[in-house]
Amino acid sequence: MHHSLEFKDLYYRYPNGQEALRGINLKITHGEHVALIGANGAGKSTLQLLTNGLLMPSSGEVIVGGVKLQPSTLRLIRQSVGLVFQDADNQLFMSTVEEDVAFGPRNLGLSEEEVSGRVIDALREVGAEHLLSKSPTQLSGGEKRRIAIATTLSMTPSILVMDEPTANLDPKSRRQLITLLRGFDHTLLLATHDMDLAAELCRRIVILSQGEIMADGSAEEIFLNKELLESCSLEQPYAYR
Amino acid sequence: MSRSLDKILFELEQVAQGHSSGLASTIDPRARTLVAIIFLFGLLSISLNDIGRIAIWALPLIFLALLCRVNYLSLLSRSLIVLPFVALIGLFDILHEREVVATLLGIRITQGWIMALAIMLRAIISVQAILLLILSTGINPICRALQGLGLPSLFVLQLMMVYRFLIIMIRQLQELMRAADSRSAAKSHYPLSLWAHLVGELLLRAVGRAKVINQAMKARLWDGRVPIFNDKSCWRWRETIFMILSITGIALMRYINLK
Repeated sequence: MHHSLEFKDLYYRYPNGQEALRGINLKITHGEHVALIGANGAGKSTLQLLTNGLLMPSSGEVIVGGVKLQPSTLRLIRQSVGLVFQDADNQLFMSTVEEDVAFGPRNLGLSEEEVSGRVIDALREVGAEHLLSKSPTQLSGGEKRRIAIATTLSMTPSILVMDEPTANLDPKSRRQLITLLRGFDHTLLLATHDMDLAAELCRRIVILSQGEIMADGSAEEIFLNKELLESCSLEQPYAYR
Repeated sequence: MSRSLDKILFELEQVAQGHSSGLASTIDPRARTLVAIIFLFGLLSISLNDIGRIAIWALPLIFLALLCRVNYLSLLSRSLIVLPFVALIGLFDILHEREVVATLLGIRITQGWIMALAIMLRAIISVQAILLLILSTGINPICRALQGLGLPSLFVLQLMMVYRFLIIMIRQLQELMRAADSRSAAKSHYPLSLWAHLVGELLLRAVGRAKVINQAMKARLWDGRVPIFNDKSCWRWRETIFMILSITGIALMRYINLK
């Protein structure tokens, strides 16, 4: 499976009939780092949940690595798309870091030996091997975020989808996380309000507003267009002011 | 209120891993859990008419608390929380069994009173045994032990997640209480209507949290059939000797009548 992500004429309606996404057409190619920016309620989180099949499209298609999202392909797609939630407390539900990071690989049906290897590799990648036996309740915000990322990395996904990765992090933890994410060669879809993070990590920016794509272009193109950003209730990153 | 929630949170987080030291902490959690279960079966099988024999079952707990370096008085005070609930059950015996069995300082003691006291005593000792196991072993090792003893993974997962969820929900309650406290003009009590709002909000948050946690589990391919723990502990001679000694002690207490 290659590492592309595609949305074709995608619509999503909530059970109350409210339309969250309207006619999304977007293709993210192998290894691309894309920031999805937009005001609150623009549909960023909904779009992210659709990438993993946690929500199913009302109409249109989600295609992950050439495989169309449908009930029969759900397992394959969830294995390919690693979803990191905004609040790490929602992602860490097991009693120890080790068990939490091992949760996904065990669901893949791997042997205990392979699971242990995956756990160590994932924790090493996020620089958190020393937290192996800790309880998630004992971790700081930055550590929790690292472990949340490790829980998805242990499933060796080809695409990483992250929701507000720097929310509630102190400057040092934020910087450590940016350094970590810079080193990733995964295809990355990042939903964020943190314009500086988007500017640092992503060359391509997609603006979502009221469920529609308002703009899709290079970071320079988007971030230098002050008028566009303001019309979408966003602001320029410091680097572009 | 917020401060007492802090204390509860601290204790719950400590208990998750178990914080005891001492001789008993070197015994495999499976052996400890098994002994606790046998202890409870033994205690619950004693007739309610035999209040003296029930009381004796508190003695090994005092001894074990010492070995595990757990403060027995704090164990006792925590176990008294269940007293109002079991007293309600005992009340039915007081009303139903009115045969006088003794007279003490002119007060007629009925069979119902004896049975009610026995119910309360048995409940307190049972709760103490469970608390001692939790405090000396920790919830997570107990979950592993239960799985090691053959309890289906799904039940173990439920138990563990309820505990984890409890911590998350107390944090939520703490946030709500802080939000209320910050605008309470230093009032020490809230009207009942505010409590109704807080409880309602907490329930809504609980549902919201549960939904997102479920999504996080499904995102990592959870289908409800997960081998949740990789149990690395091993059964040694030490555990076998501990089991033999404990079961012998329990059997002696259960079957030997000193009368």
